Amino acid sequence: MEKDQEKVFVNDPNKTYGLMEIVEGTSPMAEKAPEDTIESFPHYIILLTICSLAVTFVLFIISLFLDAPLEELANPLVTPNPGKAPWYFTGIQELIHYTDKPVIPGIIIPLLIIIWLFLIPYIDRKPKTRFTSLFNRIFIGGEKRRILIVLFTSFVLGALIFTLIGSLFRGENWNFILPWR
Amino acid sequence: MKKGILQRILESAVWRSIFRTGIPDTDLKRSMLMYNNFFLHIFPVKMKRHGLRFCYTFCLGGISFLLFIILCVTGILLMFLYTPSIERAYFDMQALALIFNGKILRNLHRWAAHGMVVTVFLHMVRVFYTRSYRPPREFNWVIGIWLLILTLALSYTGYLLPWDQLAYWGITVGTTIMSYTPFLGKHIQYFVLGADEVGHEALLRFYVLHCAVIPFVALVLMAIHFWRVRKDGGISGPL
Repeated sequence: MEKDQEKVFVNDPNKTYGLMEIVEGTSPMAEKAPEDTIESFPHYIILLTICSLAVTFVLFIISLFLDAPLEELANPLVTPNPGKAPWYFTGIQELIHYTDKPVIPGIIIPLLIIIWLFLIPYIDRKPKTRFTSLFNRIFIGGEKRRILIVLFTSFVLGALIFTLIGSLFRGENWNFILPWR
Repeated sequence: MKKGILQRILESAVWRSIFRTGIPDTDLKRSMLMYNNFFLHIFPVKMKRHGLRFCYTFCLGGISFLLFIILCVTGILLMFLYTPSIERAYFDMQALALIFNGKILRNLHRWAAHGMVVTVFLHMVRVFYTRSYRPPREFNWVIGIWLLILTLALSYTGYLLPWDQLAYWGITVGTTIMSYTPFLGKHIQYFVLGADEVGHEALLRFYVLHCAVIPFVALVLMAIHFWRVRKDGGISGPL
């Protein structure tokens, strides 16, 4: 912001100022660079109100017509087939199904993904030394961060696909089923 | 000129003692209205125009927080009607269906919870693609990831509370995955469940975590998250 202001108001003692133009506005903008801002009230508050009401309304409609599931009383002696984790963990369950070493998809991969997520803002920085520039080229993919985008997109798509398969397309004994059959 | 009833109310001493600003007919008063209101003062009085574009944020952070508020309200109401014991929990759930609007209360809580998991995740995806985690916002991204983890923990601990087959085996599967951790697996499972299997101890633990511990931690982190959005220069600019 400081730099932007200097571009508009050059710190030149020889500069003379004069009235150039009269612009429309509702508040004085003395000694300020042009900025693209608007009043939060009412512009933002209206958006906020509409959005909140819409979300609440949609949630009410869903809750009116769709009941939360309630199965039979918990019974440690009767194992459902398949026993499924909550839907956001069925992706991990699906991955575990492919291997006989559950520690890799069950613990190590999620942990590595979380650590990687934490580190994203610290590895995607402007390179200052030759080492960080090399580091950046390997893990980020330059200014356009192509590698990072590919990695992140595959993480999101992978999570989506495995979660969908695990929660909808798996039936008895974790066999593949079609949910609409 | 005769004053209308609305005008009289707006100018009355009582009204002015609550809402100091009066009718916001100038830019100064519009700013004061944001600035002097407890609930609105977390927002800036002026905003960057592009930040209001729906297709930049998709309102995902705001929707997540709205769902959190809905979950708090419905959750507290549900606490009046629920006992965290394996003898009563399931039957409280059945009784809930008989109470006036009890079913809707539970539905709202359930669907809002699932919705929040989705919106918090999508919020992270949005922040990534707009590259909003760049300095000075690195640490706010870290807090955001913690909030995603806490959202999952909130949803997961709530999953056990109805004490039906879905809950029991969902938690059994989840905690079995935890027990695969090398060296510490069994200890972690025992720490989470309070016993070797899902039982009364687990239900009580999950209840306290779900209703008190995790919401409190999440609320503190949310406060820091929102505060830092302002301190780090408001909503991020376009790429």
